[in-house]
Amino acid sequence: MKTIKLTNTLQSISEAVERVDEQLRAYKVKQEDRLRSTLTLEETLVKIADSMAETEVPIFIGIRRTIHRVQLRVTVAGPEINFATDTLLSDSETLLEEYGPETENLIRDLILRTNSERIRTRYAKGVNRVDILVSQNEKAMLYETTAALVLGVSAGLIARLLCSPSVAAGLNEYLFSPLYSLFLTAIAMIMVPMVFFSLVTSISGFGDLSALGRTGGKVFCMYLITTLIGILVAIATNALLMPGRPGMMTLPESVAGGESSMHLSLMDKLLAIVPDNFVGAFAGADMIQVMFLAVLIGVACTQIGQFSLPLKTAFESLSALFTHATSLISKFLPYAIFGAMAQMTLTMDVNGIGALASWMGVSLLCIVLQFLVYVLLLMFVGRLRPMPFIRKFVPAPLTAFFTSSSSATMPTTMACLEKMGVSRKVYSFSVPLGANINMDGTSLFFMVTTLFMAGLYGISVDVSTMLELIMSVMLISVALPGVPGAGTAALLMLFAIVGVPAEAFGIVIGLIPLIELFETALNVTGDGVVSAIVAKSEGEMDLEAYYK
Amino acid sequence: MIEIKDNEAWITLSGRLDTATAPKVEETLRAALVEAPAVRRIVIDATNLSYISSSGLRVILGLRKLCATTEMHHVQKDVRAVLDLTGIGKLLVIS
Repeated sequence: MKTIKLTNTLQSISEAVERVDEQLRAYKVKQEDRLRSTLTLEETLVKIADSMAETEVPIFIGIRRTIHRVQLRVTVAGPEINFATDTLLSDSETLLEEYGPETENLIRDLILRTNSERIRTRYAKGVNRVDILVSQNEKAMLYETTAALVLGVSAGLIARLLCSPSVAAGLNEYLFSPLYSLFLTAIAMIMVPMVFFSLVTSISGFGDLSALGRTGGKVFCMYLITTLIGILVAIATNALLMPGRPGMMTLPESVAGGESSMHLSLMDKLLAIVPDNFVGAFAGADMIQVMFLAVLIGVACTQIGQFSLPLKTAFESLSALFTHATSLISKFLPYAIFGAMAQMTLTMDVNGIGALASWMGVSLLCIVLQFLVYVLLLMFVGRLRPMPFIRKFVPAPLTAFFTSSSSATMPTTMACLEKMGVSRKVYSFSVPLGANINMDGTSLFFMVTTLFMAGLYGISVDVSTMLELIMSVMLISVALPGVPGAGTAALLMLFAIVGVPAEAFGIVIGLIPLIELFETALNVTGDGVVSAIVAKSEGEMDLEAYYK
Repeated sequence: MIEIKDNEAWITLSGRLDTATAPKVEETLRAALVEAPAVRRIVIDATNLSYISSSGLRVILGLRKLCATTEMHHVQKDVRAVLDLTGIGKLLVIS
């Protein structure tokens, strides 16, 4: 960590900010992140200086770079400083018009407020501490999970080849297995409220589809259609190839005993969607019933007049709370991967390795097939030659692959669409919406993994269960928050619908981060294809630019 | 850095307009503009302005208070981002 010492004088603040800026340039921090953080730092330092009665008070700025993030930490001893900002963003324009002695403070408050997500303040033992997040390494999780995978396999191999059977069994029972089962239990605990509140928030947000307008409505419907196609591709591939010999894995007794419930008639299943007890659906973690309630509450939330807004805000807050809790749990994902991979290497036979390889193969094949579907959609629905699209759009899926984030890829996606002549009117709406709700790759992966696991455990999926799965994956793809761990929770939920035990997750957990790279690339490609097709159909595309 | 001709003030800003430099810049500009009450348009050339903070923005808003037609030309990406972030970009004519 590098530390810069300054005092509460304006000259000293200015020099310190410049030095921080130089250091952030040396760390190759993105221009936007560098600007936002140095600006936030300067305003924070001025706020500190203004609140100090004495001059020449020492202030320290630490610049810390870890695998996860670059962060600034400002520390200053003395009485507690109030960093709260009172200005409402909605009032800012009016207040700025009324130029006066408080204008600078107002602008400072605006800057600090718009960057509030990057700032954490704390006062303890007579020291004020302000942490300013400069940038986050989006690939940190991938590096960690890859390292955990390699270490887990190595630990499993060492235990298998070098330790006596009793020591190996002890390691498995007291180290590898608890690491991974604890993580799964935590995710299973959080998945019901996380999915419920995310879904209520999404449904209530889209309550009035007519507000999207004709183009928006088309984009929304096309996103749902491409997601459904992705799911059907996964089902067809799984049905044709039947990867993983049935019954390769055996069901635990507790699950096998309850298997008969999986073979209810279609009518029974439809009737069971509606819970007879609101709380019971949550207590029993019946995901289909929970999703039904979420849709019901989400729609109702848009239709209760003056009460809608406060309720929507409350649901959004709860959704943010449980999403954040999920991302906190997911910080332990590398440990779970380590435990699962070590256990798998220690106990797996040739059948298990074959199963893992065929799951990877089928997942990647489905991704390629979905890409071909996009080409066909461009040709026959969009009436566009696909090659210009591929040529101009390639940077977007590549960026998505390397960042593993649809949101982080948005600027690249928009730039590619602009280059191919899609009007701003279309892509400025379709790309952010797609980053949130269009998860073709994710849906396809959920479906293929769930069906693959069902096959592996010898569970036959009848028509009614398949319909439940399709509906659940569609709903999840709309509502799933883009945080680490959310996908794990959703997949566990789908496993529960089919009757696959949660322990099956251990087979694939180590390779999910790798598959997610391809998934994200596919999600982004889906956004691009839909944007191009809708733009063409609405006369919002410059065809000369497209074919240039 | 400030030139007044034909009821127009042409101002050139460069480097960092921050908490240390803004008070001096403000003093200079105000002194010049007070002596030229007939100014009806202020044009700021921001080609070489690399950074602006709340203190600098206050200077710009102060100029706008003196003359409603205040324009900023050749605004760099970083400065533009701060103007947009605070909403001050909407109050000025920017190119």
